[in-house]
Amino acid sequence: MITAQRHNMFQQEWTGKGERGIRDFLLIPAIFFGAVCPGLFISSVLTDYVPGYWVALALNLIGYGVAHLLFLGRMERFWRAVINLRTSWISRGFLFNAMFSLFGLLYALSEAADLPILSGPAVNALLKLMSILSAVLFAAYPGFMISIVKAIPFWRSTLEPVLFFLQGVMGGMAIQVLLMSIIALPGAADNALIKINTILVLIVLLLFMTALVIKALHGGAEKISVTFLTTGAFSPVFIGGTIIVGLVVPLFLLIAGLFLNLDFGAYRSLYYIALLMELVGIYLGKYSILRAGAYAPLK
Amino acid sequence: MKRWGMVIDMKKCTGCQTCTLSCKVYHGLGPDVVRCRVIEQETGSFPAVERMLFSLRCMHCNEPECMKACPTGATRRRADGIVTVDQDKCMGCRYCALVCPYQARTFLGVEKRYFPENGNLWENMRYKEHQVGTVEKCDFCQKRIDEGLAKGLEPGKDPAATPMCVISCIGKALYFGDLNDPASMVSNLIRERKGFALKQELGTEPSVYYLPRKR
Repeated sequence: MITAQRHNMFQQEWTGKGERGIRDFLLIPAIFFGAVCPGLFISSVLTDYVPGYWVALALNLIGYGVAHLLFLGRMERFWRAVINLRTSWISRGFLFNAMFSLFGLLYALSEAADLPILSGPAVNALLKLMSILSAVLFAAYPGFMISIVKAIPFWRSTLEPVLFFLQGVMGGMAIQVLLMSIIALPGAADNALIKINTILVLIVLLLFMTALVIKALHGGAEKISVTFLTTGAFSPVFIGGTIIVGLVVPLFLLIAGLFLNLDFGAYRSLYYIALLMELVGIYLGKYSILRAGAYAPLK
Repeated sequence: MKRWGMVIDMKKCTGCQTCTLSCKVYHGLGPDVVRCRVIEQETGSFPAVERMLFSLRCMHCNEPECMKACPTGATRRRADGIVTVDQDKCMGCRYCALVCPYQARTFLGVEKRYFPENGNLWENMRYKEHQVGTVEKCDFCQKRIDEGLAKGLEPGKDPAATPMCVISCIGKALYFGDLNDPASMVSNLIRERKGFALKQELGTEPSVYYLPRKR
């Protein structure tokens, strides 16, 4: 059993050392927007909420694209990222993002403007399918990207891509409902979205708990990561921020609202608070998972 | 085909960090940038405590995780087994540093110099070889090896063709040579003293071996 190892066991490459100022910390916002933007797009397409398409694409461009570029050491070489598609998840993520941006834009244009080249039910259905498919891949890819890292046992889990995708859709729905308070459309499906969102919050909470228990049982570096998150120095952020603020309290508020049959129209502020808390939780969740990446001991 | 590798005798390593320093001086590495370092690890509980010193650097794996992860193709494995980073291609995403099980890579985020205004000629020359915004790692002093081979020297035997950490080790704990040659000193040491590689269970097939302190 290792009793002491005098070097940092936790990865710092992706959570920032701060030597380049704010640029070092931009990966977490990029990953956050990289999850909620495709989530918002999927949710908007499924509920025919056209403003959601544009907001998702714009947030993706700025929140994901620009933030990610600024995080890179040599952003002028970003185009090289697509070279190693065969084995690198960064390359694949770059491709998924490009596909999502392209098909999402084409689908949004086909819905918003009467362009002859994009008209016709077959073209529309194809664009819808491709944009949703690329959004799903884009939302899940960071999960695949970290789950294949052999060096960090805590991340090696098939649950990661599922968690990343579900958190993305959950956050996307939250943004859509909040967006609807600004740009409301007739026949908006607020109540239906709230119900689906409640189920997603419950699933994500259960997945988090399952993942933590499984990892804690493995011991070694995985247990070090779990301890760091649950009882260690980072527990206020993870337990307080991700689990309680981001999942438990919103779940309680949403379930209370549903059980008490509180109409969305009359109790908007209650739901808005719950949804905002979800978004905070998703952000802190991404940060916590990356921050807790502990390397296995040498021997 | 040769496969360059290193053997580190844990019985002889004193943890003096001369390998770390000689590497830093030779390559002109600034503060917080290391290609080679010695870390301590303690195992067991009193009275059966064991303190181990690991001289760590890039393991030049046969199956490098960093090369698979690199999106730009900047990380490559040469035919002789040396894993290199082309700093003209690296975009500084740091995925390679993250996936390396040996934490052997360092990101050079900003220009780092020990003496920014008064650097000597050597330092000024060496600093120019590093690109800010890219990732650094040990390359087994590939220039020394290539230039040495061109002059007919033998890496591992002739100091001018051998990595700096190996020739500067005060305890003579580091050996360098061809792992594919069963008659080489490194192959003999691994065979006779039951050399082991770190984290072999990950399937990376490192080219750096450690000789245990106890037989």
